[in-house]
Amino acid sequence: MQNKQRYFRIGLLSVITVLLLIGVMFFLGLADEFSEKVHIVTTFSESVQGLTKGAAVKYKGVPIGQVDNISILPREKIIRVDMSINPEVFVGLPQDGKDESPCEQVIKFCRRERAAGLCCYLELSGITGLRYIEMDYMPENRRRLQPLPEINEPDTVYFASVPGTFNNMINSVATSLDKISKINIDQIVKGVDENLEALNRILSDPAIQQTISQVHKASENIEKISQNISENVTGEELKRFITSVNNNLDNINNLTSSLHHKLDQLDTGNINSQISGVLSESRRLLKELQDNRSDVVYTMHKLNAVLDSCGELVDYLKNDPSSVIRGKSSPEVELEQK
Amino acid sequence: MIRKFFESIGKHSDDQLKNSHDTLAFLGETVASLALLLKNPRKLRWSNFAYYLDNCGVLALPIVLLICFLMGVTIAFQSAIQMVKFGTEIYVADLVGFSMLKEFGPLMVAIIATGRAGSSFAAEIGSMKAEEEISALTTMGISPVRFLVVPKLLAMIIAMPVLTVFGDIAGLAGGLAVGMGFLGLTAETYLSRTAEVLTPMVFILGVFKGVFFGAMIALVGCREGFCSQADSQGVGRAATSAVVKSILCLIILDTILTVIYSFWGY
Repeated sequence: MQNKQRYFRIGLLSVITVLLLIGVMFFLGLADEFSEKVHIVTTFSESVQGLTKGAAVKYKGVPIGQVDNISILPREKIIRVDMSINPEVFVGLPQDGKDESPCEQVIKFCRRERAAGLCCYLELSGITGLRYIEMDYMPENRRRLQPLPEINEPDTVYFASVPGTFNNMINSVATSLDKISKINIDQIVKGVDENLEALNRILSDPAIQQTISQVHKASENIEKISQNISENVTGEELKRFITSVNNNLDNINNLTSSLHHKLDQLDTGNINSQISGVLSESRRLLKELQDNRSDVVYTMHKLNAVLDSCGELVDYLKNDPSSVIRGKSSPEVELEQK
Repeated sequence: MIRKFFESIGKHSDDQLKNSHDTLAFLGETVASLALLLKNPRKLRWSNFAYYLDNCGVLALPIVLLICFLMGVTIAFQSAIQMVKFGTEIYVADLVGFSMLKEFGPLMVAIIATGRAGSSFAAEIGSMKAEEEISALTTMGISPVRFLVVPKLLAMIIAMPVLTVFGDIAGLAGGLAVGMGFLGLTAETYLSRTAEVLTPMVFILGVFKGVFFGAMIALVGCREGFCSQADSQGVGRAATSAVVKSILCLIILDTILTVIYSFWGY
């Protein structure tokens, strides 16, 4: 009885094991080993670093097969990559004859699309450094047909390859670096050195030094003058002066009119007419003075503004005396820190 | 003092040589018995074979499933913690799949079998030796190797690959559990990634390791049993020694097989 149970357990385990073994094998792609494949081939003149046997082959991102073999063609110095693609992935392909197999349909499709610009290129698979082969349509100027000699396999389709995105990027960087390396940095540095030396020579010239010191002195004198003017003629004083002139003119006007009135009352003939002439002359003079008053005020304001500008100029020269020679300095450019 | 030192070195070397000689003789006798059995399979004690197959295979299944599942969970969890930082969670399926099928699956199953079967074989044969049953067999003209070792060896050679299949699947299930529970991957995504990166050959070669591991465990266990001292303490020491030596031999054998597989491109 015990033996019977034991044999039952062993038998059950055996059956389950066989089922599991077959199931796992099919899950891991055993069925693919027996299915018919379409063989395609491409060549690369660039490095295929990261591409391995079993790497995926994708058509516009859809996995359609895998890399079967990678070999070197020493005479052409190119890499030949053999791939197999699964015809079951392609559905609804036109069938020319009744006996046409899915593989033949896919081969026809491949040849047709190759003429339409379907090419192979290497793509990076994530950050792993591994690569896979992507198939997509490229404009004719990007296609780079590699001659593939000694390919006498009628069922194998050859596709042209184009440099991959990563390769393009690397090439761009390499070109940029190449251009940068061609720049004669030594010559530029030498020129800058020479310019700086010449500038130093100019600045260390005694005449320039003398000029700078004279400018400095002149600016100090201007500053003193402007300070004196500012101290003596302030805005308040100017206003007071103008007010006093106005008052005086008003008083003279009043005096003249009262004199005129008195003289009219006196009626002294010739004297009167003479006085009248003098008064009219005085009135005309006063009128002219009245008219010129606004000009005087305007002139005084302008004089004040000129004095302010002189003060600013003196301050500026004090801070940067050399600007008399080289002019206004350009603002400093702040470099962005990255 | 110096003389004693050199004497001890000489004695140890002589012992090791004798031991190596005996081990090779034991191996030779086992191979000869197997060849004889191939010629005449009826000479195998089938009931004994079934007993060991049941004991070492069927009864070891629950612990194998549990440990391998937890092993898969551990590997997936540890790798997930690092891979999440780079947004490469999907590669957990690659890591768990390859490590379980190629290395950890067969090795963990073998270590469990060593603890269960290797020590048991050593203790069983050691006890028989202590009871002088081995001597009795020899006196009756029955080869102890053919009678005691061959059924165990065959049972282990068959049980180990079977257990490895279960262990591999349990490990993958552990990874899947972490992928779904911790990483938020769908079962379909995880399994399709596993199927994409693993090949049937990887699985078969891992399972095939079990054949070598089973043979190694059985041979080391039985050999230690035959070498045990004829007392109760000697049986205990033989069991311990069988486990330690088996694990050491397993690791060495695994290294050799891994190197050989790598030469084949796997």
